[in-house]
Amino acid sequence: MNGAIAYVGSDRDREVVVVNVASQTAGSLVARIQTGGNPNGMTLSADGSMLYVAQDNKDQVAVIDTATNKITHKIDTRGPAYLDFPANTTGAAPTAVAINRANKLLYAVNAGSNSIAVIPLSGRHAFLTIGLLPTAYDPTDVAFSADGSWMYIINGKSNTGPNPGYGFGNFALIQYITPPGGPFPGGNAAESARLLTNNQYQFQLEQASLVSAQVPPT
Amino acid sequence: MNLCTSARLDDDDDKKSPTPPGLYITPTALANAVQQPLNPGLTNYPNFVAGQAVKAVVSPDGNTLAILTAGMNSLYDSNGVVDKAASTQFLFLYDVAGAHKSRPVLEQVIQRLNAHVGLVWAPNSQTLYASGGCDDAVYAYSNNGTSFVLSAKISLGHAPDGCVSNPANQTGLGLGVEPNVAGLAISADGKTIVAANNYNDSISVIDTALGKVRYEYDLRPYATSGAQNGTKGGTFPYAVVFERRHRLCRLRSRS
Repeated sequence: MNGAIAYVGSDRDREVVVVNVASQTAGSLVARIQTGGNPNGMTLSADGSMLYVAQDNKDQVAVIDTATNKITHKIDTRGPAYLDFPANTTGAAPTAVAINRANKLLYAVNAGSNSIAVIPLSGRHAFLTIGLLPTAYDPTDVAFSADGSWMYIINGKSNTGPNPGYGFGNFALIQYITPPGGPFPGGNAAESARLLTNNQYQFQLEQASLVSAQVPPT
Repeated sequence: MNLCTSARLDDDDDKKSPTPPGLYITPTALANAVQQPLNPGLTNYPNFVAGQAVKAVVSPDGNTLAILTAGMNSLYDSNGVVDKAASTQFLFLYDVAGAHKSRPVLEQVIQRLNAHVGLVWAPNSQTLYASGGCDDAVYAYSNNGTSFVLSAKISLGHAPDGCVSNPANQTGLGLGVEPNVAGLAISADGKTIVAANNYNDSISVIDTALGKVRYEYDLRPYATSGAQNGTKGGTFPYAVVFERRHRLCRLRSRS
């Protein structure tokens, strides 16, 4: 059976649980790998020998050797190392990782800094962030065209701006501010319904997008 | 890396996009970048753009880009009542084949009531699997020749009525917690899917041919190793990936 080992990120306990699922009837524990931060998105190298784990509250990608189930590298995704980020400069929040099979680079999606960290997996700069690609607000994932020349970046949010048509909470429940006859014609229930039709709750206004772009040369 | 050329800092003014703190970002600063809002084309809300895109995957044949949303996409109708037909999550399918590689063309939008961060293609690119979040199910969409249509709903067996708030469905771990399917991974041969049960601290191993769960595996130490109940580990599984074929071969060669 192909794919007999599953790597599962335990978000709260900061570990990757390795489970053998080859059996048709029951799984079995292989290992628990402690990670420094909460594991989010993960990806495997083409040959399965390395596992890359985005750790959003650690600003790192953990590199795990799947033969030993040990972490071999911790990649700072905040930016190139020569920028010497102070320890308290945090918040890149890598949430996803993907490998471009064409150029063999790892891309870590920094949801918190609206960027994608570019990371070689071999050579002099192996396992180091060498640059940041700009993205839209709150990037969440990246994928690549079949030939690896184009990248598709998605994001979760947009700048919503003011929402003057929105009313906080459920006006229908706020009875005491309405004297007879006003200020909301038809009563609070009617005003609540009218405000809801504006669809201006902040989460309703947040817009996601797809950015397609040429993969920058290295 | 030629980031200076890519970023084109000298002509970014028309590419700036504001953020709440008043700073600007440049979503289209990369070379030949095109930004497309994820507008699902709802009849009664033509200007609505979905929020919280969470997962993007290109089909193995390279022809289709699938994007899944999992956010607060509720809409109210003209009477101030939730428009249930419009208040869904969205699965966007873009044609990225050939000339469309550089400018994806939206081909189809599939609505599903609930979703989360799981989205995987079958190796033959003919079926797409999406996690159903609190629906406690994995949905399969198959190509019928002209479009992708729902071909299977694989229940994970925790909540019989899906995402309905009643005690019978609050079978996640904790008080009043409903199950939530998060990440998905598929084996190289497409026969097995592993789904992360985010609020049940387990994975479900699914037989794709049968469309059924083979078994569920509790990730917590007391279940896997006989540790004392409450021992730290395995909770809130979120993402999952499958080992690839070559790794398995290497293991076999050692035996």
